[in-house]
Amino acid sequence: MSKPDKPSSVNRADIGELLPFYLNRSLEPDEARRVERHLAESSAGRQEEYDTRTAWSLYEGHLPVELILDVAFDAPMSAARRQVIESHLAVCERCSQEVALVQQEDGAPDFGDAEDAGDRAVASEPAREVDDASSMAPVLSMPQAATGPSSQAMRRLAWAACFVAVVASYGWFSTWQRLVDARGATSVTARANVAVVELLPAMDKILQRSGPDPEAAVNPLPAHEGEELVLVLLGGGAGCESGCRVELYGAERDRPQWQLEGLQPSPDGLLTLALPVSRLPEGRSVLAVRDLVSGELINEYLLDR
Amino acid sequence: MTFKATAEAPREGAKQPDSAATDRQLAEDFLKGAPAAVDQISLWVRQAAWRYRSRLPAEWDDLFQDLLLEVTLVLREDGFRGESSLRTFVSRIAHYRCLNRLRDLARRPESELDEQHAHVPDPARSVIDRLLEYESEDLLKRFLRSVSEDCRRLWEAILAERSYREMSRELGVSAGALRVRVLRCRQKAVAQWKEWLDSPKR
Repeated sequence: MSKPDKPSSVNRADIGELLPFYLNRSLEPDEARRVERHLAESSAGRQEEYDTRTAWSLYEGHLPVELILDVAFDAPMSAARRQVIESHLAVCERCSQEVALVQQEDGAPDFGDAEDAGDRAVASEPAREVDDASSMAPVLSMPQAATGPSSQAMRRLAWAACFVAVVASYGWFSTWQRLVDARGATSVTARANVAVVELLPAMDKILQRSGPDPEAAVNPLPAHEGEELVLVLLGGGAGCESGCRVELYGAERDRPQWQLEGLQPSPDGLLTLALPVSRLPEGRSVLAVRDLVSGELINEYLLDR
Repeated sequence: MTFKATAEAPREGAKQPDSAATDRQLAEDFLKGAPAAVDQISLWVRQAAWRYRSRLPAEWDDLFQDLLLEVTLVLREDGFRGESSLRTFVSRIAHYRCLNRLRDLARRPESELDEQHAHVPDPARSVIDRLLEYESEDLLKRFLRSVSEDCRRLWEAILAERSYREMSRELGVSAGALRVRVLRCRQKAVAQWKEWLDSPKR
Protein backbone atom coordinates (compact mmCIF):
# COMPACT_ATOMS: atom_id res chain seq x y z
CA MET A 1 0.00 0.00 0.00
CA SER A 2 1.36 3.41 -0.88
CA LYS A 3 1.93 6.13 1.62
CA PRO A 4 -0.56 8.97 1.88
CA ASP A 5 0.30 12.11 -0.09
CA LYS A 6 0.38 14.28 3.01
CA PRO A 7 1.97 12.57 5.96
CA SER A 8 0.80 13.91 9.29
CA SER A 9 4.36 14.02 10.57
CA VAL A 10 7.80 13.69 9.07
CA ASN A 11 9.96 10.82 10.25
CA ARG A 12 13.43 9.87 9.12
CA ALA A 13 12.18 7.77 6.19
CA ASP A 14 9.86 10.51 5.04
CA ILE A 15 12.49 13.20 5.22
CA GLY A 16 14.71 11.39 2.72
CA GLU A 17 11.78 11.03 0.34
CA LEU A 18 10.61 14.60 0.71
CA LEU A 19 13.95 16.40 0.65
CA PRO A 20 14.42 16.42 -3.15
CA PHE A 21 11.03 18.07 -3.45
CA TYR A 22 11.79 20.41 -0.57
CA LEU A 23 14.97 21.53 -2.34
CA ASN A 24 13.13 22.06 -5.63
CA ARG A 25 10.50 24.05 -3.71
CA SER A 26 7.55 22.02 -4.93
CA LEU A 27 6.26 20.85 -1.53
CA GLU A 28 3.05 22.17 -0.06
CA PRO A 29 3.73 24.85 2.58
CA ASP A 30 2.77 22.63 5.52
CA GLU A 31 4.98 19.82 4.22
CA ALA A 32 7.86 22.22 3.77
CA ARG A 33 7.41 23.51 7.32
CA ARG A 34 7.51 19.97 8.70
CA VAL A 35 10.68 19.23 6.78
CA GLU A 36 12.30 22.43 8.07
CA ARG A 37 11.31 21.58 11.63
CA HIS A 38 12.77 18.12 11.26
CA LEU A 39 16.00 19.47 9.81
CA ALA A 40 16.38 21.92 12.68
CA GLU A 41 15.89 19.23 15.28
CA SER A 42 17.60 16.15 13.92
CA SER A 43 21.21 15.48 12.99
CA ALA A 44 20.01 12.42 11.03
CA GLY A 45 17.80 14.73 9.03
CA ARG A 46 20.73 16.96 8.25
CA GLN A 47 22.72 13.95 7.05
CA GLU A 48 19.82 13.15 4.72
CA GLU A 49 19.92 16.73 3.50
CA TYR A 50 23.66 16.47 2.93
CA ASP A 51 23.23 13.30 0.84
CA THR A 52 20.33 14.80 -1.07
CA ARG A 53 22.33 17.90 -1.90
CA THR A 54 25.24 15.71 -3.03
CA ALA A 55 22.93 13.76 -5.34
CA TRP A 56 21.35 16.98 -6.56
CA SER A 57 24.77 18.39 -7.50
CA LEU A 58 25.77 15.20 -9.30
CA TYR A 59 22.56 14.93 -11.31
CA GLU A 60 22.87 18.63 -12.07
CA GLY A 61 26.39 18.02 -13.38
CA HIS A 62 28.28 20.05 -10.78
CA LEU A 63 30.72 19.18 -8.04
CA PRO A 64 29.13 18.68 -4.62
CA VAL A 65 29.82 21.68 -2.38
CA GLU A 66 31.95 19.52 -0.10
CA LEU A 67 34.48 19.07 -2.92
CA ILE A 68 34.42 22.77 -3.72
CA LEU A 69 35.42 23.37 -0.10
CA ASP A 70 38.09 20.65 -0.20
CA VAL A 71 39.70 22.43 -3.15
CA ALA A 72 39.33 25.90 -1.69
CA PHE A 73 40.79 24.82 1.66
CA ASP A 74 43.59 22.81 0.02
CA ALA A 75 42.46 19.65 1.78
CA PRO A 76 44.62 16.62 1.12
CA MET A 77 42.98 14.24 -1.36
CA SER A 78 43.68 11.22 -3.50
CA ALA A 79 45.11 11.62 -7.00
CA ALA A 80 41.99 10.05 -8.48
CA ARG A 81 39.75 12.53 -6.72
CA ARG A 82 41.97 15.41 -7.76
CA GLN A 83 41.72 14.28 -11.39
CA VAL A 84 37.92 14.33 -11.27
CA ILE A 85 37.86 17.78 -9.73
CA GLU A 86 40.43 19.26 -12.11
CA SER A 87 38.70 17.86 -15.17
CA HIS A 88 35.44 19.42 -14.07
CA LEU A 89 36.84 22.80 -13.02
CA ALA A 90 38.55 23.10 -16.39
CA VAL A 91 35.16 23.26 -18.09
CA CYS A 92 32.73 24.48 -15.42
CA GLU A 93 32.71 28.21 -14.86
CA ARG A 94 30.22 28.07 -12.03
CA CYS A 95 32.21 25.64 -9.90
CA SER A 96 35.44 27.55 -10.62
CA GLN A 97 33.77 30.76 -9.50
CA GLU A 98 32.58 29.09 -6.31
CA VAL A 99 36.13 27.96 -5.51
CA ALA A 100 37.40 31.50 -6.13
CA LEU A 101 34.64 32.91 -3.95
CA VAL A 102 35.55 30.69 -1.00
CA GLN A 103 39.23 31.56 -1.46
CA GLN A 104 38.58 35.28 -1.30
CA GLU A 105 40.15 37.00 1.66
CA ASP A 106 37.91 37.54 4.65
CA GLY A 107 36.25 40.92 4.60
CA ALA A 108 33.94 41.36 7.58
CA PRO A 109 33.88 44.96 8.75
CA ASP A 110 34.55 44.78 12.44
CA PHE A 111 38.05 43.50 12.69
CA GLY A 112 41.30 45.29 12.18
CA ASP A 113 44.61 44.71 10.48
CA ALA A 114 46.07 42.55 13.21
CA GLU A 115 43.17 40.15 13.19
CA ASP A 116 42.99 40.34 9.43
CA ALA A 117 46.52 39.04 9.15
CA GLY A 118 45.63 36.21 11.48
CA ASP A 119 42.57 35.42 9.44
CA ARG A 120 44.51 35.06 6.26
CA ALA A 121 46.99 32.81 7.95
CA VAL A 122 44.25 30.53 9.22
CA ALA A 123 42.26 30.63 6.01
CA SER A 124 45.25 29.34 4.11
CA GLU A 125 45.94 26.69 6.70
CA PRO A 126 45.25 23.26 5.19
CA ALA A 127 42.55 21.20 6.80
CA ARG A 128 44.03 18.40 8.83
CA GLU A 129 41.84 15.58 7.58
CA VAL A 130 43.78 13.04 5.50
CA ASP A 131 41.98 10.82 3.06
CA ASP A 132 44.56 8.21 2.18
CA ALA A 133 48.20 7.49 1.51
CA SER A 134 48.22 9.44 -1.72
CA SER A 135 47.37 12.63 0.12
CA MET A 136 50.86 13.98 -0.45
CA ALA A 137 49.98 14.78 -4.04
CA PRO A 138 50.79 18.36 -5.10
CA VAL A 139 48.29 21.08 -4.41
CA LEU A 140 45.58 21.26 -7.03
CA SER A 141 46.31 23.90 -9.62
CA MET A 142 43.29 26.10 -10.26
CA PRO A 143 42.36 27.45 -13.68
CA GLN A 144 43.89 30.92 -14.00
CA ALA A 145 40.72 32.50 -15.27
CA ALA A 146 38.84 31.51 -12.16
CA THR A 147 41.11 33.19 -9.65
CA GLY A 148 43.59 35.76 -10.92
CA PRO A 149 41.98 38.32 -13.19
CA SER A 150 38.57 38.37 -11.51
CA SER A 151 40.17 38.85 -8.12
CA GLN A 152 42.37 41.67 -9.41
CA ALA A 153 39.39 43.32 -11.04
CA MET A 154 37.49 43.18 -7.77
CA ARG A 155 40.42 44.81 -5.96
CA ARG A 156 40.62 47.59 -8.52
CA LEU A 157 36.89 48.08 -8.22
CA ALA A 158 37.13 48.23 -4.44
CA TRP A 159 39.90 50.84 -4.58
CA ALA A 160 37.91 52.88 -7.07
CA ALA A 161 34.86 52.66 -4.82
CA CYS A 162 36.98 53.82 -1.85
CA PHE A 163 38.11 56.86 -3.79
CA VAL A 164 34.60 57.70 -4.96
CA ALA A 165 33.29 57.28 -1.40
CA VAL A 166 35.84 59.76 -0.03
CA VAL A 167 35.06 62.30 -2.73
CA ALA A 168 31.33 61.83 -2.25
CA SER A 169 31.67 62.21 1.52
CA TYR A 170 33.50 65.50 1.05
CA GLY A 171 30.84 66.71 -1.38
CA TRP A 172 28.07 65.80 1.01
CA PHE A 173 29.79 67.59 3.87
CA SER A 174 30.35 70.69 1.75
CA THR A 175 26.69 70.69 0.73
CA TRP A 176 25.69 70.57 4.38
CA GLN A 177 27.97 73.50 5.14
CA ARG A 178 26.43 75.61 2.40
CA LEU A 179 22.93 74.78 3.62
CA VAL A 180 23.76 75.80 7.18
CA ASP A 181 25.38 78.99 5.97
CA ALA A 182 22.37 79.89 3.85
CA ARG A 183 20.11 79.60 6.88
CA GLY A 184 22.41 81.77 8.96
CA ALA A 185 22.36 79.20 11.73
CA THR A 186 26.08 79.17 12.24
CA SER A 187 29.27 80.25 10.63
CA VAL A 188 30.89 78.10 8.03
CA THR A 189 33.77 75.94 9.05
CA ALA A 190 36.37 77.23 6.69
CA ARG A 191 38.62 74.25 6.21
CA ALA A 192 37.05 70.93 6.81
CA ASN A 193 39.33 67.98 6.52
CA VAL A 194 37.90 64.65 5.60
CA ALA A 195 39.24 61.43 6.95
CA VAL A 196 37.69 58.09 6.42
CA VAL A 197 38.63 56.07 9.42
CA GLU A 198 37.00 52.90 8.28
CA LEU A 199 35.02 51.91 5.23
CA LEU A 200 32.76 48.95 5.11
CA PRO A 201 33.22 46.55 2.22
CA ALA A 202 29.63 47.29 1.18
CA MET A 203 30.69 50.30 -0.83
CA ASP A 204 27.36 50.67 -2.56
CA LYS A 205 25.70 51.41 0.78
CA ILE A 206 28.31 54.02 1.64
CA LEU A 207 27.93 55.70 -1.72
CA GLN A 208 24.16 55.83 -1.29
CA ARG A 209 24.54 57.32 2.14
CA SER A 210 27.17 59.79 1.08
CA GLY A 211 25.06 61.34 -1.66
CA PRO A 212 23.45 64.78 -1.48
CA ASP A 213 20.00 63.42 -0.54
CA PRO A 214 19.27 64.95 2.91
CA GLU A 215 17.42 61.80 3.96
CA ALA A 216 20.55 59.80 3.31
CA ALA A 217 22.27 61.42 6.27
CA VAL A 218 22.20 58.99 9.14
CA ASN A 219 22.85 61.63 11.76
CA PRO A 220 22.77 65.39 11.39
CA LEU A 221 26.18 66.87 11.84
CA PRO A 222 26.38 69.08 14.94
CA ALA A 223 27.53 72.64 14.49
CA HIS A 224 30.94 73.53 15.86
CA GLU A 225 31.24 77.21 15.28
CA GLY A 226 34.54 78.21 13.79
CA GLU A 227 36.07 74.85 14.47
CA GLU A 228 37.93 72.69 12.12
CA LEU A 229 36.18 69.38 11.83
CA VAL A 230 37.05 65.97 10.70
CA LEU A 231 34.33 63.82 9.23
CA VAL A 232 34.59 60.33 10.57
CA LEU A 233 32.81 57.27 9.31
CA LEU A 234 32.86 54.37 11.70
CA GLY A 235 31.80 50.85 10.95
CA GLY A 236 30.68 48.39 13.59
CA GLY A 237 27.97 50.43 15.30
CA ALA A 238 25.36 47.74 14.73
CA GLY A 239 25.57 46.61 18.34
CA CYS A 240 24.03 49.83 19.70
CA GLU A 241 20.49 48.75 20.44
CA SER A 242 19.34 52.06 21.87
CA GLY A 243 21.66 54.44 20.09
CA CYS A 244 25.37 54.98 20.41
CA ARG A 245 27.65 57.15 22.48
CA VAL A 246 31.04 57.94 20.99
CA GLU A 247 33.83 58.89 23.39
CA LEU A 248 37.24 60.27 22.53
CA TYR A 249 40.10 59.34 24.82
CA GLY A 250 43.72 60.37 24.84
CA ALA A 251 46.54 57.93 25.37
CA GLU A 252 45.93 57.89 29.13
CA ARG A 253 42.31 56.78 28.74
CA ASP A 254 41.40 58.17 32.15
CA ARG A 255 38.39 60.24 31.12
CA PRO A 256 36.81 61.10 27.77
CA GLN A 257 38.02 64.35 26.27
CA TRP A 258 34.97 64.66 24.07
CA GLN A 259 31.80 62.69 23.60
CA LEU A 260 28.69 62.65 21.50
CA GLU A 261 25.49 60.89 22.51
CA GLY A 262 22.41 59.68 20.72
CA LEU A 263 23.99 58.64 17.44
CA GLN A 264 21.89 56.20 15.50
CA PRO A 265 23.75 53.71 13.31
CA SER A 266 22.58 53.08 9.78
CA PRO A 267 20.95 49.67 9.11
CA ASP A 268 24.35 48.20 8.32
CA GLY A 269 26.04 49.70 11.35
CA LEU A 270 27.71 52.84 9.98
CA LEU A 271 28.11 55.88 12.22
CA THR A 272 28.81 59.34 10.85
CA LEU A 273 30.16 62.06 13.11
CA ALA A 274 31.96 65.36 12.93
CA LEU A 275 34.85 65.51 15.35
CA PRO A 276 36.33 68.86 16.38
CA VAL A 277 39.98 68.73 15.51
CA SER A 278 40.90 70.88 18.51
CA ARG A 279 39.85 68.04 20.82
CA LEU A 280 42.15 65.55 19.19
CA PRO A 281 45.34 65.19 21.17
CA GLU A 282 48.68 64.87 19.46
CA GLY A 283 49.74 61.30 18.97
CA ARG A 284 47.38 58.42 19.50
CA SER A 285 43.80 58.70 20.64
CA VAL A 286 40.97 56.23 20.91
CA LEU A 287 37.38 56.51 19.73
CA ALA A 288 35.16 54.23 21.77
CA VAL A 289 31.65 53.40 20.61
CA ARG A 290 29.33 52.37 23.45
CA ASP A 291 25.69 51.47 23.75
CA LEU A 292 23.93 54.60 25.00
CA VAL A 293 21.93 52.89 27.74
CA SER A 294 23.99 49.93 28.86
CA GLY A 295 27.36 51.59 28.30
CA GLU A 296 28.63 48.35 26.80
CA LEU A 297 31.71 48.79 24.65
CA ILE A 298 30.82 47.98 21.05
CA ASN A 299 34.01 48.87 19.20
CA GLU A 300 37.17 50.87 19.49
CA TYR A 301 39.13 52.71 16.82
CA LEU A 302 42.64 54.09 17.01
CA LEU A 303 43.48 57.49 15.57
CA ASP A 304 46.99 58.81 14.97
CA ARG A 305 47.47 62.52 14.61
CA MET B 1 47.37 67.58 8.94
CA THR B 2 46.62 63.99 8.17
CA PHE B 3 44.89 61.30 10.08
CA LYS B 4 45.80 57.70 9.71
CA ALA B 5 43.50 54.89 10.61
CA THR B 6 45.38 52.07 12.26
CA ALA B 7 44.43 48.70 13.58
CA GLU B 8 41.14 48.61 15.34
CA ALA B 9 41.58 47.36 18.87
CA PRO B 10 40.38 43.76 19.24
CA ARG B 11 36.91 43.51 20.64
CA GLU B 12 36.74 42.68 24.28
CA GLY B 13 37.02 38.97 24.88
CA ALA B 14 38.31 38.10 21.44
CA LYS B 15 41.17 35.63 21.35
CA GLN B 16 43.18 33.59 18.89
CA PRO B 17 43.13 29.92 19.84
CA ASP B 18 46.26 28.12 18.77
CA SER B 19 45.81 24.49 19.67
CA ALA B 20 43.32 21.67 19.43
CA ALA B 21 42.81 21.72 23.19
CA THR B 22 42.07 25.42 23.16
CA ASP B 23 39.70 24.87 20.26
CA ARG B 24 37.84 22.14 22.15
CA GLN B 25 37.54 24.38 25.16
CA LEU B 26 36.32 27.21 22.98
CA ALA B 27 33.69 24.94 21.41
CA GLU B 28 32.51 23.87 24.86
CA ASP B 29 32.38 27.46 26.07
CA PHE B 30 30.42 28.42 22.97
CA LEU B 31 27.81 25.75 23.68
CA LYS B 32 27.57 27.01 27.27
CA GLY B 33 26.97 30.50 25.94
CA ALA B 34 30.16 32.06 27.30
CA PRO B 35 30.19 35.58 25.81
CA ALA B 36 33.85 35.55 24.73
CA ALA B 37 33.45 32.21 22.91
CA VAL B 38 30.19 33.27 21.30
CA ASP B 39 31.85 36.50 20.25
CA GLN B 40 34.82 34.71 18.71
CA ILE B 41 32.87 32.08 16.81
CA SER B 42 30.33 34.64 15.63
CA LEU B 43 33.23 36.67 14.27
CA TRP B 44 34.61 33.67 12.37
CA VAL B 45 31.20 32.89 10.94
CA ARG B 46 30.71 36.48 9.87
CA GLN B 47 34.17 36.67 8.32
CA ALA B 48 33.55 33.51 6.30
CA ALA B 49 30.05 34.52 5.25
CA TRP B 50 30.69 38.19 4.55
CA ARG B 51 31.74 37.60 0.94
CA TYR B 52 28.29 36.21 0.18
CA ARG B 53 26.54 39.29 1.50
CA SER B 54 26.27 41.10 -1.81
CA ARG B 55 25.01 37.93 -3.46
CA LEU B 56 22.43 37.23 -0.78
CA PRO B 57 21.44 40.75 0.29
CA ALA B 58 17.77 40.09 0.94
CA GLU B 59 18.39 37.31 3.40
CA TRP B 60 21.66 38.35 4.99
CA ASP B 61 20.39 38.84 8.54
CA ASP B 62 18.45 35.58 8.52
CA LEU B 63 21.37 33.79 6.94
CA PHE B 64 23.79 34.92 9.63
CA GLN B 65 21.43 33.71 12.35
CA ASP B 66 20.91 30.42 10.49
CA LEU B 67 24.65 29.92 10.29
CA LEU B 68 25.11 30.44 14.01
CA LEU B 69 22.27 28.01 14.65
CA GLU B 70 23.83 25.47 12.30
CA VAL B 71 27.21 25.78 14.00
CA THR B 72 25.52 25.30 17.37
CA LEU B 73 23.64 22.21 16.19
CA VAL B 74 26.68 20.63 14.59
CA LEU B 75 28.88 21.29 17.62
CA ARG B 76 26.22 20.06 20.01
CA GLU B 77 25.21 16.90 18.15
CA ASP B 78 28.32 15.86 16.25
CA GLY B 79 30.90 17.54 18.42
CA PHE B 80 34.23 19.04 17.46
CA ARG B 81 36.72 16.24 16.78
CA GLY B 82 39.74 18.43 16.20
CA GLU B 83 40.50 17.09 12.71
CA SER B 84 41.02 20.68 11.64
CA SER B 85 41.25 23.91 13.57
CA LEU B 86 37.95 25.10 15.02
CA ARG B 87 38.14 28.12 12.81
CA THR B 88 38.44 25.98 9.67
CA PHE B 89 35.63 23.78 10.96
CA VAL B 90 33.33 26.73 11.56
CA SER B 91 34.28 28.41 8.28
CA ARG B 92 33.50 25.24 6.33
CA ILE B 93 30.04 25.06 7.85
CA ALA B 94 29.42 28.68 6.92
CA HIS B 95 30.75 28.25 3.38
CA TYR B 96 28.81 25.02 2.90
CA ARG B 97 25.54 26.68 3.85
CA CYS B 98 26.19 29.87 1.89
CA LEU B 99 27.21 28.07 -1.30
CA ASN B 100 24.16 25.85 -1.09
CA ARG B 101 21.99 28.93 -0.60
CA LEU B 102 23.55 30.45 -3.72
CA ARG B 103 22.96 27.26 -5.65
CA ASP B 104 19.35 27.19 -4.49
CA LEU B 105 18.91 30.67 -5.91
CA ALA B 106 20.56 29.88 -9.23
CA ARG B 107 18.45 27.25 -10.92
CA ARG B 108 19.82 26.37 -14.29
CA PRO B 109 17.69 26.26 -17.43
CA GLU B 110 16.27 22.88 -18.43
CA SER B 111 18.00 22.86 -21.79
CA GLU B 112 21.36 22.66 -20.03
CA LEU B 113 20.42 19.25 -18.70
CA ASP B 114 19.89 17.73 -22.10
CA GLU B 115 23.11 19.25 -23.31
CA GLN B 116 24.96 17.81 -20.37
CA HIS B 117 23.75 14.28 -20.73
CA ALA B 118 23.97 14.17 -24.49
CA HIS B 119 27.10 12.37 -25.55
CA VAL B 120 26.89 11.24 -29.11
CA PRO B 121 30.26 10.39 -30.63
CA ASP B 122 30.81 11.91 -34.03
CA PRO B 123 31.59 9.00 -36.39
CA ALA B 124 33.42 11.33 -38.77
CA ARG B 125 36.13 12.06 -36.19
CA SER B 126 39.24 9.95 -36.03
CA VAL B 127 39.80 7.39 -33.31
CA ILE B 128 42.69 9.49 -31.97
CA ASP B 129 40.52 12.60 -31.80
CA ARG B 130 37.85 10.70 -29.95
CA LEU B 131 40.45 9.22 -27.61
CA LEU B 132 41.85 12.68 -26.87
CA GLU B 133 38.38 14.01 -26.28
CA TYR B 134 37.72 11.10 -23.91
CA GLU B 135 40.93 11.77 -22.00
CA SER B 136 40.16 15.47 -21.51
CA GLU B 137 36.49 14.93 -20.79
CA ASP B 138 34.83 16.24 -17.67
CA LEU B 139 34.93 13.10 -15.54
CA LEU B 140 31.75 14.13 -13.80
CA LYS B 141 29.92 13.63 -17.08
CA ARG B 142 31.44 10.17 -17.36
CA PHE B 143 30.12 9.40 -13.91
CA LEU B 144 26.65 10.60 -14.85
CA ARG B 145 26.58 8.27 -17.82
CA SER B 146 27.22 5.40 -15.45
CA VAL B 147 24.04 6.20 -13.52
CA SER B 148 20.90 4.44 -14.70
CA GLU B 149 18.82 6.17 -17.34
CA ASP B 150 15.69 5.78 -15.23
CA CYS B 151 17.26 7.59 -12.29
CA ARG B 152 18.57 10.38 -14.49
CA ARG B 153 15.13 10.98 -15.93
CA LEU B 154 13.54 11.08 -12.48
CA TRP B 155 16.08 13.57 -11.19
CA GLU B 156 15.89 15.69 -14.31
CA ALA B 157 12.23 16.17 -13.49
CA ILE B 158 13.15 17.12 -9.92
CA LEU B 159 15.74 19.62 -11.12
CA ALA B 160 13.04 21.04 -13.36
CA GLU B 161 11.07 21.75 -10.16
CA ARG B 162 8.32 19.19 -10.74
CA SER B 163 6.39 18.12 -7.65
CA TYR B 164 6.12 14.48 -6.68
CA ARG B 165 2.39 14.65 -7.28
CA GLU B 166 2.90 15.80 -10.87
CA MET B 167 5.55 13.19 -11.47
CA SER B 168 3.47 10.38 -10.01
CA ARG B 169 0.50 11.31 -12.18
CA GLU B 170 2.64 11.38 -15.31
CA LEU B 171 4.29 8.05 -14.57
CA GLY B 172 1.05 6.42 -13.39
CA VAL B 173 2.42 5.37 -10.01
CA SER B 174 1.39 6.34 -6.52
CA ALA B 175 3.03 9.36 -4.91
CA GLY B 176 4.56 7.17 -2.22
CA ALA B 177 6.06 4.75 -4.74
CA LEU B 178 7.44 7.63 -6.75
CA ARG B 179 9.11 9.17 -3.72
CA VAL B 180 10.69 5.85 -2.77
CA ARG B 181 12.07 5.46 -6.30
CA VAL B 182 13.57 8.92 -6.12
CA LEU B 183 15.10 8.14 -2.74
CA ARG B 184 16.63 4.90 -4.03
CA CYS B 185 18.09 6.74 -7.02
CA ARG B 186 19.63 9.22 -4.63
CA GLN B 187 21.07 6.50 -2.42
CA LYS B 188 22.47 4.58 -5.37
CA ALA B 189 24.01 7.66 -6.95
CA VAL B 190 25.68 8.81 -3.73
CA ALA B 191 27.00 5.33 -2.90
CA GLN B 192 28.27 4.87 -6.46
CA TRP B 193 29.86 8.33 -6.39
CA LYS B 194 31.72 7.69 -3.15
CA GLU B 195 33.18 4.49 -4.56
CA TRP B 196 33.88 5.97 -8.00
CA LEU B 197 35.44 9.25 -6.85
CA ASP B 198 38.56 7.72 -5.35
CA SER B 199 38.81 4.78 -7.70
CA PRO B 200 41.80 4.96 -10.08
CA LYS B 201 39.97 2.73 -12.59
CA ARG B 202 37.02 4.37 -14.26
